[in-house]
Amino acid sequence: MEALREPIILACIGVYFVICILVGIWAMRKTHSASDFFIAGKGLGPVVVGLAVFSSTLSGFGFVGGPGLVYNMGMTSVWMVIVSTLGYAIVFYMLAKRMRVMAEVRDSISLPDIVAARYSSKAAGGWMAVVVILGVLGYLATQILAMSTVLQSILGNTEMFRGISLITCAVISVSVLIFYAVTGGILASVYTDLVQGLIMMVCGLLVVVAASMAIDGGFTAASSELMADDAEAIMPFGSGGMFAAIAWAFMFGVGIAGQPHLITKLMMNKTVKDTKVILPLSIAGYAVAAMLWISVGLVMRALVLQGSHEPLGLPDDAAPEFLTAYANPLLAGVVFAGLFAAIMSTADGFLNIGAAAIIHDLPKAVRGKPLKNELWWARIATVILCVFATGFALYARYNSGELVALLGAFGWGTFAAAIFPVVALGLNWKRATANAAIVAIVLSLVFNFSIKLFGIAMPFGMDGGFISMLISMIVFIGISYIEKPKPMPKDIEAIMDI
Amino acid sequence: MMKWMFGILIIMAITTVVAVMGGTPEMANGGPHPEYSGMSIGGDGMARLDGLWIEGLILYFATFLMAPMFMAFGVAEHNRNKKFWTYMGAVTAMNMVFAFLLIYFYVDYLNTGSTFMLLGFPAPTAMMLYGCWGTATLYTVIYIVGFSSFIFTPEDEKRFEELIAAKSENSGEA
Repeated sequence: MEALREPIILACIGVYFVICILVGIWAMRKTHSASDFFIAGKGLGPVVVGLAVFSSTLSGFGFVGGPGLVYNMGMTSVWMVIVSTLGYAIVFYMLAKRMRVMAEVRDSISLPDIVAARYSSKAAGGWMAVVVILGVLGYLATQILAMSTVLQSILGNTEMFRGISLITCAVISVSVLIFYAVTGGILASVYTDLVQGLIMMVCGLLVVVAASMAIDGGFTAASSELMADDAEAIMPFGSGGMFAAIAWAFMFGVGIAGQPHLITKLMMNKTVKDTKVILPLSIAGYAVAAMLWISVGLVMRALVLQGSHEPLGLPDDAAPEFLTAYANPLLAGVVFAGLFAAIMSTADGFLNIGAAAIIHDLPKAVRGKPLKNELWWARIATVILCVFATGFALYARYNSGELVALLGAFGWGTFAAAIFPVVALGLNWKRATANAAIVAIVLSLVFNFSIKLFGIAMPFGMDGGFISMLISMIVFIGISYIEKPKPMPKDIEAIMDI
Repeated sequence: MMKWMFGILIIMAITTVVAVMGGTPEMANGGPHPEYSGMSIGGDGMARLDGLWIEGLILYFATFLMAPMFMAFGVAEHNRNKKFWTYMGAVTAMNMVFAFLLIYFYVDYLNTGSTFMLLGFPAPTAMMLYGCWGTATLYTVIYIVGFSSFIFTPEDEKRFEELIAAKSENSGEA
């Protein structure tokens, strides 16, 4: 079986691509309007939404960057996972009901729609659309680059495709992504998310078993190995230290309620009551898949320390090397398909909200009304966005990385700082004002851009997103307290009373 | 409730500023591993938190406290009854107990240089993985079990239906 490792991995990825294409064709027949394209006509079942919520949260970072961080700094990054249970609960307590009710009562189909309706302000909605578009470009470019790099490393290992270029790999993977995202819109996206979520959960479970068997004595032996070398690495705050760990905990735990690709999915379920099924499903899915993150990183660090494995060239090699050296070829194939699944599920979520911002939210903010034939324009915008992000990613890869670094500021922290106060607090607090929302959004953008542009290092290794979140929340609440609140539309007030 | 949350956020911001102004001890954020280039080490845990324990603990417990406060804030004020506060309070207390035990076992290790292993991990890390992570799932249990009592009550459902009816009426008139 070992001799067939490469063909098995290729077959798993091939099967996964075919599933994505078939789902796209099926979903195209069910997509008849912009509402179908962007929020699946508010008609999805709880299992589909539950798995889509968690799989779009766990991008390729969880499969490659996560284990790499654990290999590099021990338990510090594990706080991102630990707080997920708190984070998902915050999302559902604060937003699940209100987003769904707002989508029904105001026919909102995007996050900027909701912001504009909540604050009775086209400007606030417009600024939210700007955040979404800039963020989508940055995130999408990163995901496309990751997808192409992974495909290149897999195909490059085979006799048939040896020497294949990154551009060819980008064309192959982006073509599949564009096909199902354009034909089936969010419906194709969430149903591929369903497949992707199931693959990720299976991978998570199997890899934990493989990881515990890779080292004699299992996790206890791995922990002991780390303790003997540098105890801080296996202690709760890891080698990154207490402040870095807490900053990540706050930013990922609270900031999850500011991730647009996740919270817009809360407008897609059939009924409000579905949310009590969606929440536990999302948490269970994330927890199982995230075990891969923790177990692979720890075990690889222990194996290298005890001399059983060669030191890694880069921390991000932890997961690929583990799969190559210690996982059954079939499991490796499924995990690589899972890695694609993780990257693509995040990318298609961003494509969808980006297209909505371009053809629905910006025209509404500027002209006061949406475009005619939104469905057609949505498909065109999806293609353009994807092609543009691919070009941007490849340009950045082969030229100066400055531009991508700048848009890289639109990571989790920027979304969290710009969106959490405006949406999560604003939908639950009648006193919040439109001016406070606009200032919080603009401040978050300026702060995060400045950190990247001027290369400002945060003290104690704390993530800039944490500082940015604190500032943006304080400013948002402070301005709202200072300003005299304006009367709200009756339906919005009634929604906030529910 | 917003005033309390605002207060805690300001305390967190001030604490961060105070910690930064106090200077950064060596290895506060770790350093490179002497043998392996892709790894970092933390070194002496007690020394790198020297003079920063109070600030660190304020931020640590404030984070654990803010999470349930945000959750409670998401529940409509008229649904935040005694039963709701009892459930949330109990789960928060349990979560905090494990957060406290994590610190207790960690400080004990830093002082004595020894700790015990629990389910594959040193005691402080086990408190984090099994205690803090595990007890936080109880907030989800409250959401599920108390859904029709706190989150979306029959009265809320009725108001929602009235809003839909009013919307249909308005669009009919238009």
